[in-house]
Amino acid sequence: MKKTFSLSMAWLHTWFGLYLGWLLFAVFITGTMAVFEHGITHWMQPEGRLDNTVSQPAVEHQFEVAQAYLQQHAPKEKGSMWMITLPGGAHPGLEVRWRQKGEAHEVRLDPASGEPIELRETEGGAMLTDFHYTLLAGLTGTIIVGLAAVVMMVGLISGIVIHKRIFKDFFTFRRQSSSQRSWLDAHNVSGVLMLPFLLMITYTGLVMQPLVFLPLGLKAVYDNPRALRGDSVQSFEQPYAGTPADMVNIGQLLPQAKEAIGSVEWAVIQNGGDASAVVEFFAGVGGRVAAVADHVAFSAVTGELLGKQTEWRDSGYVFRSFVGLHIAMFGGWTVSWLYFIGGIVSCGLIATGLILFTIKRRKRPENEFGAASARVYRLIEALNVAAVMGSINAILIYFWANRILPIDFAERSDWEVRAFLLTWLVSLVHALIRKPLASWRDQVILALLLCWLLPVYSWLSGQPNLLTFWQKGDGIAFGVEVTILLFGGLLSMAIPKLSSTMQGLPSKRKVRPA
Amino acid sequence: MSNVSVLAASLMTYALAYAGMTAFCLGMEKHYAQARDGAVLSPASRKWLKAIGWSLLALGILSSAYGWGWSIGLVAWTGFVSAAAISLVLLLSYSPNLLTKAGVSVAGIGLLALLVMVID
Repeated sequence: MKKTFSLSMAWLHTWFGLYLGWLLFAVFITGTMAVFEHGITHWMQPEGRLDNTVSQPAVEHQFEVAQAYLQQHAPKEKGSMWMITLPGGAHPGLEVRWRQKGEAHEVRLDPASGEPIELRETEGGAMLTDFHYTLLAGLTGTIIVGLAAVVMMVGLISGIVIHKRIFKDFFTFRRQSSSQRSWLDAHNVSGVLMLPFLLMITYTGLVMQPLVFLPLGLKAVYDNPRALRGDSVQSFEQPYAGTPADMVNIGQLLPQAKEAIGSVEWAVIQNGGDASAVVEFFAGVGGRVAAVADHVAFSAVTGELLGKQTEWRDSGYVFRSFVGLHIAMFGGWTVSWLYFIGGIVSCGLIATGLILFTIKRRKRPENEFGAASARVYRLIEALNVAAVMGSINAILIYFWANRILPIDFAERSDWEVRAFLLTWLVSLVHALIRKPLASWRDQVILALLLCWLLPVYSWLSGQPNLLTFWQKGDGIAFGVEVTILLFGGLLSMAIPKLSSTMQGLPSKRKVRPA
Repeated sequence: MSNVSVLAASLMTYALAYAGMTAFCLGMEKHYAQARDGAVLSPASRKWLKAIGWSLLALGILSSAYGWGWSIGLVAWTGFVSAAAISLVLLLSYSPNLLTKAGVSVAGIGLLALLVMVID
């Protein structure tokens, strides 16, 4: 233990921040991408692109064709759930989903003809969201990310304690001072100005997994998670009858549904094709912070109204408010972009923290690891590069794999994920072989090229690209590609600075007389 | 809400948050000197700048609540204030002498939009 409170806080901040910072960077950057999960998925399946130059058929008709498709292809069995999602917002297409023998099926339909649209096989943006909270390792991954979130909280609080000049240095960023000073300023300013976002996102991220992190309290009250859900979300399910029955055209129930809950974004049919079939319409979660969707249920056979839920229990509502605050489905594109910017600045906070650790010790080694210090510092430098540039390049390579792998390639979505994961390994090996600054520069240049050449490659290989997205008025796919280009611009600003540091020259402005 | 009115509410809330942060920034001696060629901040000006800063931030809450209602509005406003402060720090770092002009013009745009919205 260190002598004073603030020294021990500094110790905590340095070491916990370093060891978990590598993981936290990957979690934050994939979380930032998750804000635009559906947009990214849409961009990764350009065959399903919207043609906004032709008008879309009426919603009633879309429900009708979707229902017809499900009746033909989805299983009619006890406990079946068929889902229909209408196009709208970030969800650009008409989509039907069901599960058969534990396997999820997802089909995009042409809203006019009801014919399935052939899409390239990919996990899309959902893979990034999945990585964000499971590291693609299921429950174990969730627990690891949860521990990292606790450490993030510790980092934020210890950071506040050791900063001491929060208000005096509120706007201070001495870009042209010594490199340690300017990195520290960048770290402090991004942390202080983004503090509300950082505390909110870390805290809500932890509490939204109560079954994992706080299971005992729930277990004391509820026998199983379904009972907990049933206490908040009203169910209008009917017992399975076992006798087949014809269903009504659910599109015709739409006016009644809209009257009950205002708007309709998706619908679920339970026990489809059975006499007990129920159709439930959902209003979507975009209208308020809490991620709850008002819903109304009808018998899918008689069309009789079974009930609706527009009132929510306080406990469930508060919990879903935390979830809603984290997943940011409310407030449209404004809130999405604010979260995206918050995420990028948070990534900057973590990256500058990692870099500071090594910059401090390049000048004045503290020899915490005894005789092995030089070698451990070398390893830490390499891990920093792999965590920061490795994560950025992994996502970009994932996007590239989506465009490069042939459409009918076997297991193509698995190969996309493999390319994503392998990039980290390559990045680390590269960082271990090259000198630290050289590996930073190489990998920044690589990321920059990946960003800027992506639309060029799509164009040359005859795939949908910026130009076609623009012509079809597909703002979502266009936005994704422009954001990638702009991100390349951001990276390009780092290159001259890295080059001048490599040559050991002070930056240009510093030599100018004051 | 239509895309145009979302854009208007976003710009207005950002403008008010940015202008408010500029007032706070100019209300600090070292940044006042930085932005105004070494001029010295008088205690009276400091008081005024702080008062202006708080008022603009408060107006920003109103504008955000107008755009998205109170619950979403408060969350969005917090985000706008952070984003505004980050952009202010970048401007202060790259070209401090533009800080006052930028702050005043952005405040003008924000207040004008607010006025139009209230009358409308």
